Amino acid sequence: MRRTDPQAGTPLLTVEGLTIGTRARTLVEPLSFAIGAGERVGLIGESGSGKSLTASAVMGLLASELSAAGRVELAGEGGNLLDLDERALARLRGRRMGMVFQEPMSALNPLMRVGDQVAETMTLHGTARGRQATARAVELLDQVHLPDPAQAARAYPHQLSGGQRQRVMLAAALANSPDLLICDEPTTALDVTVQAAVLDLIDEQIAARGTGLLFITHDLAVVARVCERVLVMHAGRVVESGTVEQIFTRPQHAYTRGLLAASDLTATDARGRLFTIRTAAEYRGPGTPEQAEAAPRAAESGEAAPTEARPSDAGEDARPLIEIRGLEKTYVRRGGLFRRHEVRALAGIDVSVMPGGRLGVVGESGSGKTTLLSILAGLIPASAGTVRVGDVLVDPHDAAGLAAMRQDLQVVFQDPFASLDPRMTTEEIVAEPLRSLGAGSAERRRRAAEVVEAVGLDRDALFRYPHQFSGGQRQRISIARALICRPRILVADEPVSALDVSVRAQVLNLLSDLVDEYGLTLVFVSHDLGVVRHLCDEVVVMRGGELVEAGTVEAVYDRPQQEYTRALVAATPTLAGALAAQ
Amino acid sequence: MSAPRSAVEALPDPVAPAAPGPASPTASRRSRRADLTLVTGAVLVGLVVVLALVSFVWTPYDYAAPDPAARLQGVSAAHPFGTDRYGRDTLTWIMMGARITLLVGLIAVVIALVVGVPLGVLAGMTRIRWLSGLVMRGSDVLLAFPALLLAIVFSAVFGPGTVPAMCALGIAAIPAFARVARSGTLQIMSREFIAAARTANRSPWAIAVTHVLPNIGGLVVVQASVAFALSVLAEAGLSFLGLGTQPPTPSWGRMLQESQQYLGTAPELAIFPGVFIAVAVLGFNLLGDGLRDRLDPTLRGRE
Repeated sequence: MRRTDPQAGTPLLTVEGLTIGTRARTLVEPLSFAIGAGERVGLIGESGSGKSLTASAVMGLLASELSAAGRVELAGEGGNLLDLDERALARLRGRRMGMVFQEPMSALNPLMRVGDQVAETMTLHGTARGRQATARAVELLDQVHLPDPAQAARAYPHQLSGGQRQRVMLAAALANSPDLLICDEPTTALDVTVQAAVLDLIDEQIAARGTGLLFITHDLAVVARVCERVLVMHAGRVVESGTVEQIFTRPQHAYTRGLLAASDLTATDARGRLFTIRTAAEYRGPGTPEQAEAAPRAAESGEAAPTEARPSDAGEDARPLIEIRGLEKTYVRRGGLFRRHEVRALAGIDVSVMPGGRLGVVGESGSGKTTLLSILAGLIPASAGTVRVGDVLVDPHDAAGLAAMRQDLQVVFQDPFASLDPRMTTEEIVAEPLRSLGAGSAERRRRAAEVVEAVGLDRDALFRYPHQFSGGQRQRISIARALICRPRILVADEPVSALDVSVRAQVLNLLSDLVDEYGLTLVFVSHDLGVVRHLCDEVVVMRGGELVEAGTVEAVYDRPQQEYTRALVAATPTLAGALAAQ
Repeated sequence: MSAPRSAVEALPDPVAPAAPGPASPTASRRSRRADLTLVTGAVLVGLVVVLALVSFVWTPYDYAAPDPAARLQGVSAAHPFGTDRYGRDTLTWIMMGARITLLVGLIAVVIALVVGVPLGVLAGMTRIRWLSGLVMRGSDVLLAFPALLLAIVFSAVFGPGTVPAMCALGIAAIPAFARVARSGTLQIMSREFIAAARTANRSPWAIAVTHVLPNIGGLVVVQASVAFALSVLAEAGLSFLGLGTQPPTPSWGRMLQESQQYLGTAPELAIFPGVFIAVAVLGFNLLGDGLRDRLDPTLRGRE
């Protein structure tokens, strides 16, 4: 019932030979596509593929330094949208074309009540005014399922959660029942359960209005869920287009196949490793039965071998390497001048990790997983409870203990752009942990060269600065820094969440290899259940500072005991699931 | 979701950091404008520096030797900037005055920088609330004291002269440096690479030296050049009041003061020192603005 024939009548939006570039270079090569009335088209690609630029060009929102050529036509408006002046475009935006951006906080005016912002799109276009617009705004907020819409209309953006803000954005974009809705990564900044709800909402609202959709995302599972037709962009070019089914089951282009293979975390090649763009040729497609069966087996066999090789857990009595008991953390927040209230980030956490274990910590934003990790690394003090790493009780005030503990435990941080000092060369960054151990400069240089090679970078990378590397390469540098003093424990804080899918698979494979090679115990924090499933053998699920569920990956994912875990697993978009639903 | 942030999205440049994509061409245009400011500032400052340096090896006349035959001569080929009431060559005095101007600026900035930056970094890095409070409230108190007033107090206590003036101006500029250093430090300390350095077990001292100082260097350089301009102006003001550089050492401020009674008959005596004070102040200000745009942390990272 979702399908409409794109050939029927004139298409809603026609883009022909659209090129975008600066004076110096072309960013988007000639690009043509059409969206029929009520049709849902997905535009997928990785960072820098030009998908957001394409959307901006259609909306007439390109930065002034960029210029677009070609034709963009909207049914019912004569002529080329690219030739229109700002005033004419402004009349179209918000009335015939709506847009939802990725970051709902920065897209909303922080000093204006959200109801007024929704009403504004109507008063600007004269579709409603005064009290009528206000009433209509409340109605719209009700349609996007905000609880207590009348109250919500009087709230400021900061009083709403991320998901609620994105609902407001959607209400504003749909206020004038536009013919075309453009969504630019609308759910990328949201938690999975919220994402699922927002996607359902977009689905429902555009179906009700018969709105055409241009949906931009890097996430193939999301596209498969929302769209009926897909354009795959790579380096400013559309490499492939077709229906969701065609693209996802019979991809023709090598890049599409690579992207599919790399984003499917349940599929592994013969050696139990994730597919990358390079190894994608063997990939069979999402959710084919034998593949789904083979995946857990491959993961198990991959883990069984190194367990025997690890000396630590064979002979001794099984004493956990990391033991967290009754951990609590309370932050004091100041609200207003004199009021202060306490925020409980962790409320009694018990976790233990055996030597050689791979523990995944999953949870949505605000679940306390990053706080847990900071306490574990000795970066912030706990309010109550104990953390033992090896023989050391972690206490931020015990410098000698910390020094000993940090030789055993190293951290890979989330943001590859912020976790490397921009003023240092790779060699200096990687060798930094050795400096606190008092290693001489010759030894530092030698070991830095070794470890940089171990993470798959060239030797000349040593003398370059972080800004000369891509996100994936930076994360390799970060891993190299964590491994240089040969720790026993590696703690990773969302190390792949800022990376593109194709790079993500490479970094995960690297991590997996290194964990085996160095005999590491891994604590892996992530909001992405798929990543944790692939990499870890035990998992704890956190919510609001509490442990919801803990157990082996198979038990928690396949037979979740708690309602929340079940919701989390169900909300995680998977290719196989989305395709099955279609 | 694995999330390539939209920030990185819009440009094909794979290394583009947090700066929003479309801002990049804007940044280049901005930096071209900044370059013009920077070059103008550098040229003006360079002019003053060259004058001062040349004065060590050559001046048109002897600055200390009066020539009664050539009193108040006005602009001529022999005296391009004219002569004063004792027949001394104004160009020679401008050149000699440039030395004092730069010396005062330099010493004042060095004092403020050497004291202010460590205090600011300390206040930014310490976990001890009262310590950072002490430093910052102390600098607030100092800030409430006008630089000129402090210099007048100093000259009353130690007698008028170049040295008390330099010290007073330097001390008065400490709070500005401390504030800039502290806010820069707070920003850097919240970045992940500091957490990384801490998990690498680096001492606070090592973090301050290897991570914080290099990363706030740009801010400090900008502040230094602005403080230089302020010191130049303040020194001229003090000398004008007779509280700064004392005779017989030439100083632009005192030249202005001495020119007062001849404003009607020999305006060039006031114009030339005035113009050079303006050139020096403008030069350092433009240099500071240009450097600020060049070293702006939001544009940095791709240098």
